[in-house]
Amino acid sequence: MKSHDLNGNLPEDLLDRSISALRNAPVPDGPGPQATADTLAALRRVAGEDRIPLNPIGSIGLTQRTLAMIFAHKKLAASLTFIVGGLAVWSMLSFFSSVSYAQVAEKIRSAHAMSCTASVTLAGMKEPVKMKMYFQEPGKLRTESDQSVTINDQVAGTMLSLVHGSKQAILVKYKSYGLPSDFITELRGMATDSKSEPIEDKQIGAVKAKGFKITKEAQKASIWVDPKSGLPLRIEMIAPNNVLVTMDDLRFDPALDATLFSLVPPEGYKTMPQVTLPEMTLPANQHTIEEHVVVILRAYAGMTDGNFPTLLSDPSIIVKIAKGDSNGVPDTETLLVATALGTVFGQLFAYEKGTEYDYIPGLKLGDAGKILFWRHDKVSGKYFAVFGDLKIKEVTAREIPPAVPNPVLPTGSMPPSEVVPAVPLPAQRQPVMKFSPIAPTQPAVAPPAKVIEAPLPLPTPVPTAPVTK
Amino acid sequence: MIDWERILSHDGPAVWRTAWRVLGNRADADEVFQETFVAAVEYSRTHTVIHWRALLQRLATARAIDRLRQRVRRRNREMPLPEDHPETSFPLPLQAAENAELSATLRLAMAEIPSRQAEVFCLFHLDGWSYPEIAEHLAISTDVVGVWLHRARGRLRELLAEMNEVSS
Repeated sequence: MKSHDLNGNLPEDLLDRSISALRNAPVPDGPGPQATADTLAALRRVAGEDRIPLNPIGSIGLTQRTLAMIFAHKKLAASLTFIVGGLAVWSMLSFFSSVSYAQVAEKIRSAHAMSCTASVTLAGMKEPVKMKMYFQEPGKLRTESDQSVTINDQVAGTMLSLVHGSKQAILVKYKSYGLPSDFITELRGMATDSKSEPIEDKQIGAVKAKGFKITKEAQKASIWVDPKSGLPLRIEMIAPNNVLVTMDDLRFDPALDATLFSLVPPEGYKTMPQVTLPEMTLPANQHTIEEHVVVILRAYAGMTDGNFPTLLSDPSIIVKIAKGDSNGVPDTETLLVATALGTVFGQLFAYEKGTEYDYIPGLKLGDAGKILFWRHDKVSGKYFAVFGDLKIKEVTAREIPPAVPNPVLPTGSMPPSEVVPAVPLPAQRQPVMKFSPIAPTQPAVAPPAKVIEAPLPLPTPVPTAPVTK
Repeated sequence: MIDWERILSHDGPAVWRTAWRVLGNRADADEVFQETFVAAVEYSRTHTVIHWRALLQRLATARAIDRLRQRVRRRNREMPLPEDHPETSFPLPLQAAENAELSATLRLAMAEIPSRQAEVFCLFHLDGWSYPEIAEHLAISTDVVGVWLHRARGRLRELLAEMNEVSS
């Protein structure tokens, strides 16, 4: 090639001239001292925090690597705090709002505080993300992980995020809308129409715990209870996209020190500029799932050349869109997408994938005629869909595309009765729709879809639930 | 036990320059530099690495291209991003100014072609890797290297011509 055969004369070809210019352009000697020091610190942190046994066959999953990247990268650490905390909070809220067997209900109903250890395992992940959570009435939540601590006070409309690696304290202020999703309130308002059936007992610590399988609509969970105290010792449930959420070490009304919920940064942490989220036009639970989905997909497509994610509720999506300032504080768009991710993840708990909602990967931004996400609204009975151009429309059941199989969790990490097998799609897939069977006499052409709205610009954040942080 | 400090001091400058050449911007090069080394840690957990510099340069190239694409997309939405030029403290000579413009335009064009093609293009033209070296590190055949490079050059030539036409 010409650009490799430079003989002192500038090549005539514009491309070769450009290559020559770029290759011969003066370049600084190397990174500055600060960049070198930051990189060395990151290397030590990542290498030192490596608790994963070295595996010669390369079994460390993409998500694991992604999370490691997040933890190592100061600009993304805070964002992860929002996501991980959000997933767990929504999981618990969704679950407890439906648990209702009498033996446990009364104990929970009288609780004013609670703590537990939660772990979240995503498909492709060998090790779960673990965190410790503390709830205190009214509306206080503390989430601890190896990398960070997040304290959220819904009444004050304030959240404090402490990032251990970089020793940063980030204070987020938002408009409080009271306690529409207060955890303790959710506990007391447990529904009473769920079904329970006994499952195999399990040895948990020194206790032979009695097992129950709880089902309410699309929500399913397995609970193991201490037969003496009647309190749950472990809860396992399957979230959308086959995400396994496990809660252990559940304690009701533990003595929680008030300092656990202090919003004052501890000594040794550098207080970063305060982040103030813009005021919402609607409380969190008044935004539709579709609007949150659009927020996620729009941001993702904007950063990936018009592509959409393979999974909708994958926390590593945040890696693609996370942006922040030089101090490591995530920008507003990052917060909004993190909020939307947590919200979508939590709200889809109440829906069954494939029959009540689905996400269809593989489309590109602009595929206006193709459905990217759809949901059957349980209240109105209507079907809503997000199309490839990110327009939200009401659709008919006949327009719903075939179901997409679930991703698969690591072997052995899911209750056997709940494993959704990953099967190759048959050549001619049929939609799995238990609703609205199509009468043969119906016309083949669906009526024109009604455009509900195109939520641009990005909706305001969702400060009413801890998931938003 | 991997001596990361030694690798950083020995190979770091070359790796950083690889990123800078693609990005032309110190802040972005610093970010890519750090991401590259963290990615190398992850890679080393499952692979035996013999040539650290080659691995790091390949990782840096891929990440720099990703960053370049993000930057160009963001630039289209917001505003032009500043580029560093070591000699910007004094007026550029005509030839240097022309070269700077050619470099900047080529970067823009590289952001518009498929990532893997851009990666092969950079490794070959900017880092001086051979076909067999690229093939080995990207786990593809030398024939594929040739095809991707040919496609990259063809598309870049078209893009440069379009950009040149617009600017003139």
